[in-house]
Amino acid sequence: MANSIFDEIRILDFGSAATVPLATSWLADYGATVIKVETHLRPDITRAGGPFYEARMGETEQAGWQQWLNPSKYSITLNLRKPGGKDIIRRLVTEWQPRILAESFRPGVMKRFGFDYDTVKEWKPDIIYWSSCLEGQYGPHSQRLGYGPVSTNLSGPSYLTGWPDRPPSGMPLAYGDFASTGTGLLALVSALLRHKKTGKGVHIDQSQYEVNVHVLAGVMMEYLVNGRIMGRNGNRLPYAAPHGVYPCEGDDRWVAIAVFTEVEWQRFCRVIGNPDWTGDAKFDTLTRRKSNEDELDRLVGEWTMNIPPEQIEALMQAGGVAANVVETGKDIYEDTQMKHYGHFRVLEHPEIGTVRSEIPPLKFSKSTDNHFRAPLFGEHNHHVLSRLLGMSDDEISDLYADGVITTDADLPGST
Amino acid sequence: MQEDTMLGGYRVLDLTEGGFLLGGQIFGDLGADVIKIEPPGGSPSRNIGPYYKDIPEVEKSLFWFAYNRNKRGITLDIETSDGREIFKQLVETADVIIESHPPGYMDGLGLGYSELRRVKPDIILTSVTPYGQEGPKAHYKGSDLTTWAASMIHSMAGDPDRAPTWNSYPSAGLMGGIQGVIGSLYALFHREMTGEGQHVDAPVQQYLLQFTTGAHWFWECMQFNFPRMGRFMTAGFVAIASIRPCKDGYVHWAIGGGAAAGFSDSTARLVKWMDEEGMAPDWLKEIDWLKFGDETKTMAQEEMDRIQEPFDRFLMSKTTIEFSEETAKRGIMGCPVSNSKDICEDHHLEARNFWQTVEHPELGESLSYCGPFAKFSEAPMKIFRRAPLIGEHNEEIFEKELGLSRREIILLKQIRVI
Repeated sequence: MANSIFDEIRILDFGSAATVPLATSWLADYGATVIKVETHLRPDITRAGGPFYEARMGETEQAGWQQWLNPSKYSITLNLRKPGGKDIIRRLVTEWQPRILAESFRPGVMKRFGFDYDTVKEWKPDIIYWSSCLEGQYGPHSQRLGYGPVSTNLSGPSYLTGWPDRPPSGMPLAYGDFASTGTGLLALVSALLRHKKTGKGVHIDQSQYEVNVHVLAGVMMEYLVNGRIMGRNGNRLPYAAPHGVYPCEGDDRWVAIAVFTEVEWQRFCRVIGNPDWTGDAKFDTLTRRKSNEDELDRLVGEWTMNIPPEQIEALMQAGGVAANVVETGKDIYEDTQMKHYGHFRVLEHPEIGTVRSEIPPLKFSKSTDNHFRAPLFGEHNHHVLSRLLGMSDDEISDLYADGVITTDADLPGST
Repeated sequence: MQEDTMLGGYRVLDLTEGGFLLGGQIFGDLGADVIKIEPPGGSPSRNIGPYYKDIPEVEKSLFWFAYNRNKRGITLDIETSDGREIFKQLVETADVIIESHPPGYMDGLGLGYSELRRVKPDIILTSVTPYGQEGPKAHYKGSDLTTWAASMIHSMAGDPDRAPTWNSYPSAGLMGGIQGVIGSLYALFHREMTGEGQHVDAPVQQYLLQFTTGAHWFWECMQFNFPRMGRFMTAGFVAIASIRPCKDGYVHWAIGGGAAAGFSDSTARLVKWMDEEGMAPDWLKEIDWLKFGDETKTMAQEEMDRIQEPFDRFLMSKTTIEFSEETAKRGIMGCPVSNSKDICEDHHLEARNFWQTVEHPELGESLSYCGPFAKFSEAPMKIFRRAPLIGEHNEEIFEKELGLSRREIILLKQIRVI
């Protein structure tokens, strides 16, 4: 195996759902050894929730999002309420010596388990400890129950999405989780670089709310300085027209087109065949196009609606105008650019057969990846206990018998 | 004495524009020495509004303020041969260059990776572009709107009876800025391990795909394209409002049950709150929310609407602030649908000292800024300086650091290189 960037980095990962697991997965993809600590008592929502392969609802090994969020990791399943479970964690920290510990519980949960930063730091003084949660480790609202939609709605993006004449239409699923994946990840690599130089660790307290507000800094300054609340504007921008999403031939098919400059407007007119209306005085400057934008959008839509979106994208781009099909899930897998980069890989999976798996969105001229399929639930229990902690088969059997290692029998609702 | 920061000692040259500028700022927050290189006369991104007190001038763009703090600024026309030579002198002192020009532009100037590595063998060049450096769409024109569309987000956002729609504040470049920092730091760690520099290709289309929450996996697993449902979401086959009107705005709260992720606890706690105010009918109090999760799979829409009616009535009696305070206190998965005013006045952020005051001597006042994106127990991120004025550090960098003479600088100014 070729050397990968983070070959020497070990990570103990308590993250669940998306934010933390995706970040640690991108480190694992470039060589880090990541042990994902899970439990059947309360399965990660991305194992318990859909989409499931072949619509096999509720079967944890058929969960699609595992293939997206947890590739290149190892999985162990523990009952952390039992002393034996706690002891395995303590031994992993002191003997296996992870460089990073990551967690995304509500503030206080790691302390109740006995693995808060202060405790872990005593076991391993130079630990890099990443806590990522909705509103940070302290503060009056730190105990709010959070999941993706709360972060999206609390932190600003939802209010900005939709039409000015309607309530916010919001952002689907867990949009608000992902700015924290990227910023958390880059904070970790920064901490790794500092550790290389100084040998020091750090506790990273990440509030996902603050991350999203940070990204919207321009929106905040408009309020802080000018006292103005930014609102919703559909697909329009103050300084571009036409700028929108237009209906195309086919069932619920759409194309996005963005025209900014004078030159781009002329190109756009040429692509649509210079129909008479493009010569109308009410469209001949950008400010006039903005003043008559409803009519402009209607006329553009009349042109687009009889043509497939792929064809419009190709025509516009060949003519030098920004345009792209409003791609669906199906389109993404067929996208020639995604294919060129090999963004999805097809891997063997012991329960499902073959699965698609997604690699990080970066291409390095020198570094190579180390991507492999996401683990089954508890797939590496034996490997971790025997190879990394040197336990005998008898000791491991006892851990199963005592329920320290959880199994399918512990799933909620199983008999 | 130099402060202890995460990236102190690294130098970054920032050639990006638009939202990508956030990347250089994050490097600066982390303590790197970031030099923003603008064309003579100032960066085109200074034309992006809003503006300080609505004064539309290049030195008063709040967009510029918001994404260029912690950078020093110089003007340099790298399209001229004199400018390129000075740029190469800077490259010799740098660790990372981040740029967002169309693929091939830097090569065309003789400043592509193969050229820059000759100037400094271990240099890291990170190129952030809508579609990437290679492939059939590498030379596509990109914009915020079209790049999000290429990442399928529009297909699942907006009201079903209108065109798909998305965040009115352009954010694709901002996310791409974050992506560029990740790629650069990976390459820096690689360099620390091997001594090698490299070229990092960061295609934003691929990065933005995660923001759909992996909705493409519905196609992979079930050959089902995730639909757009506006302010509603689904549980099984019924629609559930995710954004609901309240007394003075909108709140997020969605009815839910079952064993996963605390939904049943959350719903039971809201019912308890309603009951305390005499707004929970007896039949509602009798629902077992753990079982409710399974029941929704076969429930008719009319039945779901009937169950939700008392919740909607209760929410209409609450302001966004009342709802925010109580949901946080009671452990309910709900919150206001915040606008910028709600956020800037949220006492939780104040209690965490999120907002920072930054002096603007040229404006004769101090402005409030968003603080760093996380709190570190050591080597914290900070706002060290406000965004640079046009060419503010020309003298400091050209004369004091690169050793150009005053006469050379005057000449370069006259020939519009700086």
